[in-house]
Order: sequence, then C-alpha cells, then structure tokens
Amino acid sequence: MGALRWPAMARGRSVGGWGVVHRGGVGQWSFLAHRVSGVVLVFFFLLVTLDVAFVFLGAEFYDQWRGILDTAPVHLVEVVVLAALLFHALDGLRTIAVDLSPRASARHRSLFSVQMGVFVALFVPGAWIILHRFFDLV
Amino acid sequence: MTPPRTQIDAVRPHDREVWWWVFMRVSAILLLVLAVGWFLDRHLVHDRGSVDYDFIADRWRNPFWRMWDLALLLLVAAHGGRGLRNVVDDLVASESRRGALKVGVTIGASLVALVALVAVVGFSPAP
Repeated sequence: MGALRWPAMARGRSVGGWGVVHRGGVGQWSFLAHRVSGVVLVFFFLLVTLDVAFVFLGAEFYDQWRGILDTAPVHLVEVVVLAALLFHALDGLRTIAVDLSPRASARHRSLFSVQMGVFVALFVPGAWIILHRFFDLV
Repeated sequence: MTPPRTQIDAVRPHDREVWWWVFMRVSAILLLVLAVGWFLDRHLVHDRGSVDYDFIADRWRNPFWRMWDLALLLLVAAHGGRGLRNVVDDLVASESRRGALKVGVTIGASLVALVALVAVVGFSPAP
C-alpha cells in the first residue's frame, strides 16, 4: 500500500538513499522514475503558482514576465515537463490498478509496456504541439 | 485473545496514513483531468505564447475556469507536498532531520496553497 508497499529505502538504516537496489526489476525503476518525475512536477507547479501570483501584481509586470517565459529555453523545458507529467500520470494509473486488482498486479510488467506505448503515443504529438508554433515547424 | 487480523483492519478510519494513501489516489484521478485539460487549453486551444494579463483576466471572468485553476493549484500543493513528504520519509535516515524536513515540507506546501488561494480568489481585473 502506497509508500508502505515498498521497503523503505533508508528508514532505520545507516545506508544512504539512492544506492540501494532492491530487486532491480521494472517495479523498482518505475517507482524511481515516478518519484523523479514527481519532483520535477513539484518544481514546475511552484513556478505555475508563482506565475499566478504575478498576475496579482498587475498587467505591466505580468506581461513582462510572460515575455521571459516565451523564449526558446522555456519552451524546451516545457517538453521535459510534459514528459514528466505524462509519465507520472500513466504510472500513477498503473499503480492504482496494481493496488486494486490482483490480476493487474500479476501482470504489472506487461501493463508497464502498455503504459510506455501510450506514453510515446501521447508524448510525440504533445511535444509537437508545444514546439511547432514557437519554432515554426510545419 | 486477540481476534484474527482481517483485511478490514488495514483500512481502519483512524489510520491517518491510510487516508493519505486514499487521498493520493483520488487526487491523482482529479489531477489527471485538471492538469491534462489545462495543458490542452494552454497549448492546443490557445497559443501559449499569447498568454498575457488580458488572457488571464478574461479566463477568470468565467467562474468555471477560475475554479478549475484554483482546484488544480490546491490539489497540486496537497498531492505534491504529500509526495515530497513520502520521499523524505524514505530517503532521510536520521530521525530528527526527517521530522524537521517533513514539518518543513508541510509548511511549504501550505504556504504555496495559501498563495494560490489568495492570488486566484482575490484577483479582480484592472478596469
């Protein structure tokens, strides 16, 4: 169940966090990727909250700030954020399925393959949507 | 004699951790709709580069979109804060540092939620 379903990585032990390999399978790596993408999303939505707070400061300030956001590096970062968002969302759905259904739990590896297929199918058009206007792609 | 343990024992309502576990699942489903909808609105329906003060003022004139943005930001603060807390729980070995960091994460997430609340609810467009 949730965090408890996985052995705590360092709790009560003197070993340092990220080096611990439990069984090294799909389960552990997707768990790690879920966390990394989650942390990426936390920082992105901190920025979104800041953005919303900037609206509060008035039109002149906000439009200047949006000008900074409408630059190439920011659009590229958004592609990374989209990857994190899609992975985190799909992996979360798989986690819910595995938690609730013993059948899904028994097939979590093939479920992960399906998940990554859907990820690619959504990420490619999503990245195109982000990039095509700014970079004048066809 | 203690009664045999049943599966029900695992979800006793007084177990706060279990309710947070449920919250992460429920908020995940809501966030899936809110965040993906937000992305599609910003990038597909509109041109993300054209977002400016007037765009936001226009969007928030409609209470539906204002509630959408508020729900998104509040749920993200709660879901993200709880997620960070789980990460701290798993990675920080020292009990005192772990406790302090978790308090810090909770305060930080609450502040972010407060900023979002004040900014979205308190906004009134300049005439």
